Amino acid sequence: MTQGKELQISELEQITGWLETAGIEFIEIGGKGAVVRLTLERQTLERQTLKGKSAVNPQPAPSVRETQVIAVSPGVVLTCHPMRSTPFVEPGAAVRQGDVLGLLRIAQLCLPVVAPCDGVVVKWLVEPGATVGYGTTLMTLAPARHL
Amino acid sequence: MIEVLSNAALATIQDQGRQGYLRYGVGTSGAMDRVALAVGNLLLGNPDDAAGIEIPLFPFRVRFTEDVAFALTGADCSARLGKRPVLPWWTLQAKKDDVLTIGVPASGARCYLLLKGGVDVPIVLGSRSTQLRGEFGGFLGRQLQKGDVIQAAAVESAYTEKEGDAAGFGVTPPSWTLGGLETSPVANPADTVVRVLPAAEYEAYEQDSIEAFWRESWKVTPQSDRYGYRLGGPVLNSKRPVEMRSHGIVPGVIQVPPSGQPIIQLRDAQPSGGYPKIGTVIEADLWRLAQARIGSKLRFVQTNYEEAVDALDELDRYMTKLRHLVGLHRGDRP
Amino acid sequence: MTSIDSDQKPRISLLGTSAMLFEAPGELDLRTQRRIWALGQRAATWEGIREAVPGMSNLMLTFDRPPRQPASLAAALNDAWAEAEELSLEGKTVVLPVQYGGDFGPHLSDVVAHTGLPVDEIVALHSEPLYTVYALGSHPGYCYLGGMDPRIAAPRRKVPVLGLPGGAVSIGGVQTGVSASAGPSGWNTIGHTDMSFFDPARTNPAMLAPGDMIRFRVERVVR
Repeated sequence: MTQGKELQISELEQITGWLETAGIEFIEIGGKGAVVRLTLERQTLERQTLKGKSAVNPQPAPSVRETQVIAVSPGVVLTCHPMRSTPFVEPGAAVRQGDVLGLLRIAQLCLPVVAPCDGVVVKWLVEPGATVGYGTTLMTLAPARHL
Repeated sequence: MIEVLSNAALATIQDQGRQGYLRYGVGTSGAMDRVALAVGNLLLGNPDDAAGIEIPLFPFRVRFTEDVAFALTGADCSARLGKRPVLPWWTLQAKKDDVLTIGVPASGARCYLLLKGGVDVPIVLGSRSTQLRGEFGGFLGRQLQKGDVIQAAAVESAYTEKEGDAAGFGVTPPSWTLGGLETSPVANPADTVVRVLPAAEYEAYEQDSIEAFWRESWKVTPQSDRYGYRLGGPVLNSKRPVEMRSHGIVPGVIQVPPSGQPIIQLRDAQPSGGYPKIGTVIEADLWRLAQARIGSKLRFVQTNYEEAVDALDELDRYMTKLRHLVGLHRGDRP
Repeated sequence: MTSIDSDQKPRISLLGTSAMLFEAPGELDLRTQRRIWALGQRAATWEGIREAVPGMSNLMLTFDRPPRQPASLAAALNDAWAEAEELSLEGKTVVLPVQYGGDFGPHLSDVVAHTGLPVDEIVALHSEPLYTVYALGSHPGYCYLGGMDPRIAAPRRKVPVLGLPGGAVSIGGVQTGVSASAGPSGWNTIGHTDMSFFDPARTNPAMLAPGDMIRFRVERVVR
């Protein structure tokens, strides 16, 4: 890998292609000393549904002591690893900071959704298979139980 | 960089194989699952010819003697780094004294442990693969043992962990993209299906043997390993006894010895042989075979040369796409 | 002994998408083998060919990338074969002392049973010729030899035997050879010799090459 790899125009084209396919309208890509912001402009803003999976659910206002787990990337939400059928976590599970709660899949790439702190899983706020954008709240964690 | 904690695990150092010495009697060796090795190298930003550790027997434990990034691909073997789970087809940073425990896979037969920079063993006759019969290459020409210390090639810059990196990242397994192959509706979905091209002696077999070859599921018997998979199933009979002259063979060739039970020659097979050949598993499907466990069943599907070459192209396109995706994600990481 | 289809034309087949196999018709003899050497030398230079691997009156061409038109490659092989002249590779002669029979020759009795010949005659017939190295294969440094007397031919074993030591002298069908390292074999092991056949540290790692010659010298016969 070369150091300081810049985003090539061909790569930008590919990324916009993915975004269009996935129905994502806005993405920021940070790099060394530069941020690329892509916005897909449409005549009408439509809520897109993908193959029967619902899009992002309306998000309830989080309770004061709950922690939000935020998507740090766009992608398709996976609650199980593609090779497994048991979910990473179930509601009520105790998790530690750094635990993998789920995955965000962009094509074949799998990025971890990571617990930002110790806590207890309340629930997923998005459906498995939903496509989310950067910054979407994916899950809430209740404060860790004191054992 | 890592110390082997497990004994008698049959693990070996492999790269993509030792090419160009068949005429000296030196088979290619190399990774049974070339896709798993290649993807593991991609995840780490390693050169394509970097060597890794092929692990066919479980559990397997190693201790990291220094900080190093690693990748784990192939079978899902419920791996743990210390107490933390390590996902399959994943790359992660290990710290000095971390112990990686690779457990028994729920499915699949072997996994690959890759190190940043590649495993550093001498190149012998152009490759770092282990030549077990000749006792050279890889780690002293043998399987790994408890106490072995394996180095990784030096990386140019020290790793500086970036925010959000601690959990690593990965890719979907190849079957997610390349899929399983269809046979008949009555086939057991757990069977491994591979495409086969008939070989020179195909016509020498009795008609009902040929039909059985394609129709039946074949058991991977316990006498199966890197040399070859010995299969259990109906006896294949030739119309007349076939005694052949020794000739070159390649991994994937399905020989039928007098017992009538086929053997699929694999990466450590002799580079030549004299048993009749009924067919050859296509090169593009050898990675599927590599993940068929002992006791599991195989099915053969007939294909033609054009389709077999297309299958290789499909593999190439898949690897190119992954390389691109992973490269974008790795961005300016060393 | 000929293969199941004996006709006058070479037989060409594919080994999946990895290689093409060319089998010369006719007898397994030095003249044919010398033409195979010539064919191999020529085909090794063709585009897309990774390696030309001679066998016993046959040649395997492995591919860098599988050709889209294998029929063209087959045609080229046929043309080159028609033009191939005997390549005279006259190498060195090596004498190998052999202990026949006993613990080192566990299948000598099987050869006796198959041929109907007594041990002493089998040993005499095996050690008489000056064998030519036709090709290497099977395992690092292993030499396939031509020139064995067909009277001591014995078929390959139904079940290969595991763990035969390096230096095992064996008969498989009409061929004979010496194993260069420990491993399994489907041949009939009749004796043992001490010799180093392979050194991976050397640029040319095999001690023997096609065209070299071997003579077996009888050290001992254990009946």
